[in-house]
Amino acid sequence: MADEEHKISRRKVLEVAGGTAVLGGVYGLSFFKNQDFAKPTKIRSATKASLTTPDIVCVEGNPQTYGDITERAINELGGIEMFVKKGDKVVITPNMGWMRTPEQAAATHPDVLRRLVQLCQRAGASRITCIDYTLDDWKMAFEICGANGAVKGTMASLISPDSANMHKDVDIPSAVPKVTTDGKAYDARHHFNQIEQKIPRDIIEADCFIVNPVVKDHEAAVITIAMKKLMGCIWNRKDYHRYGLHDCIAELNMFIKPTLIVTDATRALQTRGPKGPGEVTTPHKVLAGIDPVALDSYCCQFLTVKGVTPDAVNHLVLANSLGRGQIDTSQLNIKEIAGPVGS
Amino acid sequence: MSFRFKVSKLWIARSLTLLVANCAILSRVSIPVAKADTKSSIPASVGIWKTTKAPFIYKQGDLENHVDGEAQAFKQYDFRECAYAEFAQGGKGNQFITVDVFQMGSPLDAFGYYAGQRNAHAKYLKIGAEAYQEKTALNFWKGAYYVRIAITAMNPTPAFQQALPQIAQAVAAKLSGSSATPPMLNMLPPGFSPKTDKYQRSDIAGQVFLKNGVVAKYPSAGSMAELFIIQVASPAACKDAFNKYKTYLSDPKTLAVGSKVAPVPGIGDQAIEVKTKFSGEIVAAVKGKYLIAIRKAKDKNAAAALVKAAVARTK
Repeated sequence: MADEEHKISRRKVLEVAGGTAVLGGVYGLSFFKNQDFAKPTKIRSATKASLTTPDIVCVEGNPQTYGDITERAINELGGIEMFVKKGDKVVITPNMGWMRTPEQAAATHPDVLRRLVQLCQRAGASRITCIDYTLDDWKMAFEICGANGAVKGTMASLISPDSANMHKDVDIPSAVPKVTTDGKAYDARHHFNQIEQKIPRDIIEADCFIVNPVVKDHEAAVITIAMKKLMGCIWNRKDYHRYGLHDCIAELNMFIKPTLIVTDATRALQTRGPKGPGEVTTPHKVLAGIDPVALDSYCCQFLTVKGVTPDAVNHLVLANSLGRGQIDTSQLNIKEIAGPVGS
Repeated sequence: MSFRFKVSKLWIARSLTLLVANCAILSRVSIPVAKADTKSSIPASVGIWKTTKAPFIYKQGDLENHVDGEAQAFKQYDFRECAYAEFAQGGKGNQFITVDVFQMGSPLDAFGYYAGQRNAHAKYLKIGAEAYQEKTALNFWKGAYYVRIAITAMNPTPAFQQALPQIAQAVAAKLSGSSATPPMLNMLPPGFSPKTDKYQRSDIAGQVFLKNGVVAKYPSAGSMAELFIIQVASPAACKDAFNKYKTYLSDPKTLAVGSKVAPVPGIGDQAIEVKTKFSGEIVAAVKGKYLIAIRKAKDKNAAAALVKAAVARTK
């Protein structure tokens, strides 16, 4: 009996020891994995120059002044020096992922991108990287959409982060509140579906991150402007489409907070987005601001063919509930400069 | 002799059984027939335009690699497969006309996806069930197929545009299926803007619980006014959807300043009207298993009249 008890207790000891080892291992692994999570903490926070600085600036131009109205929109927010400091590593994410010409409006207009790059260079950036993870062949896409021409003669380089080692693991749920602004419990989609995500090292290491989207219809996300544009940087896009696109977009925008947003509404792709070719209108406008929810909500008015309203875009509604920004544009200080104007 | 006859009878009986069984299987599984259609619908050449390589087939699992996020939207319309090919002059170079033949679950799905992307101001052509041509694209639907043809070239010559309808005709000729307007569209009352009628599988008015409906724009109620009619499985489920929509419309985040949801007598089983922050005047009604509403309206009375007309068409 004593032997039997001894045997059992030995087995128990072994079981406990084994269990402890397994749990310890799992904990240890998760601990080390957590240690590997990167955060884009260097990115300078978006700030307004003063209390009277507009939340959104919208400047109208014509095809000859797209560069000028880009500069004017930024100047109205306090100038590029508000956002880019001397020696900064600047990352810009424009739309340049498709083999579509500028007139097909699937990419940021080259004149808008070029002026933005020139401004960053003038402000003293030490490095400027333009990033978009292309679906089409990147060489062809960069050439046809005009991005190559836009950065020609500048210090900027174009990158499609199409291999995993260009990215770092990130923990998106760590930036997502567990309660919405109206007091409802919220479980991050990334957490619920255990979505693993990576973002480019360049963004992790950036001092200044500028989102430079074009206004487009999106057949799945309703719109793709500043908030959805962040998906053009990440590694794992498939899971977003599989598990809950709008939730994932909103959560990603809680994690990556750009220093500045310069939205290209010189043309708007009205249908068959994000790639087109589809119906294109030409609002001839460039907008600047720091609140992606506000800018995207305001830009819904340019998607006239489908008549998109902000309340029909679930990632705007959710991001607003998570406190990321203002969906109700009547609450904003908006400066509209009718054109056509130069700088 | 009699032995041979017996074997022969047995063989005939077995063959007949096999034939009947095969027919039964084929009648249920229509995909193999349509599958052949999708890939073989793209000809190797049309005049001087030749495919640069054999058509590539994308399935449910890899459509994202081809159209990125749009894949999710295709799947909502019961996407089956896509045949993709690039045409170039003489089959060489990197100035293309690309062809996508999307096979959807039904003609209603194909029409739905096509109509959701339709350009009301484009030039319309008689190719397939309906086609339209823009400067760099030509799209059409036929049967369960939606076909997109696009110019992917830096500075295309007029020959590219001229080739679009030729390639489209060649593809349409190889596709089978009806060209009739899906019957569900007949629920829409007259007066909608031409080419704005569509079938939407999900997220109607941005609400996840509003699905499987027809939508069209009615300028009589406002330049952006849009009517939708949703068919739900049962009157109880429809009432449930209506109540959810009412709850959404009653939310202070949705309501326009000073507005509240008010009943509208005399329309369907129950009707309401409200002014919202983002979507203008809304009139919504429930009748049996149909939920009918108009949003983004400017003229409340015209909106109510349209909803009433739509209610009258429900069976």
